[in-house]
Amino acid sequence: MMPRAAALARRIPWTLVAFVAAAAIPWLGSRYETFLGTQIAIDALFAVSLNLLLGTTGLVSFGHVAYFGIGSYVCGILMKTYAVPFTLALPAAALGAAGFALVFGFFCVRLTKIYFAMLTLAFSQIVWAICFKWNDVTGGDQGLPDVPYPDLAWMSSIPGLGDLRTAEQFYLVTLVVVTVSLLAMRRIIASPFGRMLTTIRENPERAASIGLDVRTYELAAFVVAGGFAGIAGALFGIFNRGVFSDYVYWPKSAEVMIMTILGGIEHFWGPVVGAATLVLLNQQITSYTEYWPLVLGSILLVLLFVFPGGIVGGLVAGVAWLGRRYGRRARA
Amino acid sequence: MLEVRNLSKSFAGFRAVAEVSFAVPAGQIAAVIGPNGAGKSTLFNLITGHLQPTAGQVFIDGRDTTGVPPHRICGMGVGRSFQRTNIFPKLTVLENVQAALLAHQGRGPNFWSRAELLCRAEGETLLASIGLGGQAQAVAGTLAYGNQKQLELGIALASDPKILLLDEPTAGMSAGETRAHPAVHRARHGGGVLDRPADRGDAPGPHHRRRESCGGARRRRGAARLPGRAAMSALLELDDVHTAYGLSRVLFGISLAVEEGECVCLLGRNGVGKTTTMRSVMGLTPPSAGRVRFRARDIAGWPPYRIARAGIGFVPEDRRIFAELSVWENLDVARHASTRPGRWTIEAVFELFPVLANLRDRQGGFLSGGEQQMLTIARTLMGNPELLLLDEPSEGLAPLVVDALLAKIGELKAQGLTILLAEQGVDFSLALADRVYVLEKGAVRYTGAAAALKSDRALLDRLMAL
Repeated sequence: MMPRAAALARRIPWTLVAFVAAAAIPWLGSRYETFLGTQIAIDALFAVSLNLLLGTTGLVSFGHVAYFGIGSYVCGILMKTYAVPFTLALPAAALGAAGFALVFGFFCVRLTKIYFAMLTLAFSQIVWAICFKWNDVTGGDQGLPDVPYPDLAWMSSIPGLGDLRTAEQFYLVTLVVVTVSLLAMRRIIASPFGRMLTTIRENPERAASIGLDVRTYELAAFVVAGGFAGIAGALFGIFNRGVFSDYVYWPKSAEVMIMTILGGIEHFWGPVVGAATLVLLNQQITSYTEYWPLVLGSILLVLLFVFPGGIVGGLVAGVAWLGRRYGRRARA
Repeated sequence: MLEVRNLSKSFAGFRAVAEVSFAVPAGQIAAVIGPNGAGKSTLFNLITGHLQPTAGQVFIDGRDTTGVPPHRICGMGVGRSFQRTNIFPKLTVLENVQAALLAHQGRGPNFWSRAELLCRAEGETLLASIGLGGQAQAVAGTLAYGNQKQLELGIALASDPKILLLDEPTAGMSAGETRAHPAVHRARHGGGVLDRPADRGDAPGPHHRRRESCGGARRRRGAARLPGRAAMSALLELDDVHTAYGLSRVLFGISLAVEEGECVCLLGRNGVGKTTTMRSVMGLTPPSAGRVRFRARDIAGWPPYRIARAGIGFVPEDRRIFAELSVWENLDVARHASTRPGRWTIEAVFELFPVLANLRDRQGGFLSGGEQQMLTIARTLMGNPELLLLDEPSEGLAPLVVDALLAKIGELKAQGLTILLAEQGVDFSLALADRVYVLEKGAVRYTGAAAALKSDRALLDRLMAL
């Protein structure tokens, strides 16, 4: 029975199921739950983009927030200051973030290990300082409040979507953009390019000896990850109705790294689970106590000790263990 | 095809390669031979661009490639294997060669196709040709050492090299594996091969053709215990030890005993579980079942540091010296970590290994393979062990160095140190051992006095053939 159940479980298109379930939130859940859903979706994209570096290529970036923030500012400035439509501002945010990732990454990939990590952090702090001080463009410490929602009037003409509030319509847009981005990243990781990144993670010296220009591949991964982080940032700015220098500040780099490691860096969906867990925990615990960081720290401590492969790593190991146990009994 | 002119390389004032010049025409096999520390690996690293020469030039196909990075040199048709295995451990065996094939075909910038579907047949053919066809789906890091070496060669061959550089290709391989070495086939198909076997007898081509009978794989499990031995209380005793790496089981009930003052050898080919037996004793891979007794105490499940402090010293196959520390510092670290009183001091190990005394200020990473092996043994001795576990000490070493090492280990044995040795080199182990356990597929297949095997060559051949 167990193998048949396993075969059945494999045949179910889980991505589609998860997407449909998430898309039903505006109808089934409250406004608050839609709000949380938007936040989870955006954080999930941000975390998966980081994992392209961390889990796939083996590059530890402490400054991934820079590209999130750049995407946020590019989209916010275009939409608010220049009234550019969302359909152009979003790709522009991705390209802007990827462009900066290309420039910064060019220097970062020349270093390795902790020096690489420190340089990414240094660049992100430079970006933050510029955003914090350049009043004319970024609004400085005041940020850019009142970034408009995209024009979603077209949605009202679709039956069933017309009754939704703008925030809920934007949630659906976010969900689609995030899902398409995640599927694209999954495809990239499974592509020959992704395989080359994996060989670099596993053994950079050997990767060079099979003919890979390691630095160029690392730079390409850095640019792709930066571009997707930029998309997440753009969505986040609209979602929060404003872009602020906090979005580029280093604690957000730490937060996304916690999400990624918590969910598990060895699995594609790990960071998604990590993002959902962290957002929901945050929301649950802050409603009980003001010592949220203390509780979060303790939970992380336990999770990291119990599931060194993250939540998804732990689940996979658990399922394998059950399968073995059951398999042995079936054979006996 | 390949030409080297006046190539020199110095590390921190010490000349590893000095004014080397030679040329290898297409289709020829050239061997670079020399004792350990002669600069063979450094020479290879200079040719493949992993190191930049201090002086001199390298020409490949008539083009000056001095200072060209490794990936471009690979693109010019130079494939190489490394002395220490160098694979992609978390990928499967098939994925390892697929990645190399994709890289060679320049398909790396493809962001869209599914990598697992590309180069599949090619990869499988290649694996079959190097004898790894049955293990395509295994995770490369779980393969036995010799198989990893084969895979490494497969990765090098995937680039369809015009020139193949093999750094100690048969190190850690059995005679049978060596004979079937793919480099031989490769050479016959017209590729140039630059080979640097430390053991002259193993140069591809003129193999010592030892006929081996492969039939009659009868297993004699359990029949292994020597009468009278089991009753005594041994220094180290393994009782039905089972060990697995994750899902892959390696040891299937190993039982053995080592008496005080004895030198016992675990003999067997790659992948039979010699290293795993040692790791099980040391607690590095704790056994899933069975008992490990040291001085009548059950140490199974103890953490490695406690086992080390109880008096077992482990000299791992891959040596694990501290590359950034000097020879003296490597020993000093061990001295401070040791909690056992005993006779070993830095002066005493320098007396045993005078070579090391002369190199006391050199960084560990700049030592030759043989010197590193001596340093590892010396470092382990600093912990004053009662029992020394030596995992393939002769591996990858030139014959002269092996002889020197043999003498040193013999000296230690004469001084009363108990030794458990894991080896594939039959001559090496029989020269030292009092008793021998022959392992096969994670179980003891034969036990006997070393003298008995020495005199019965036919039995030995039969045991080692499988």
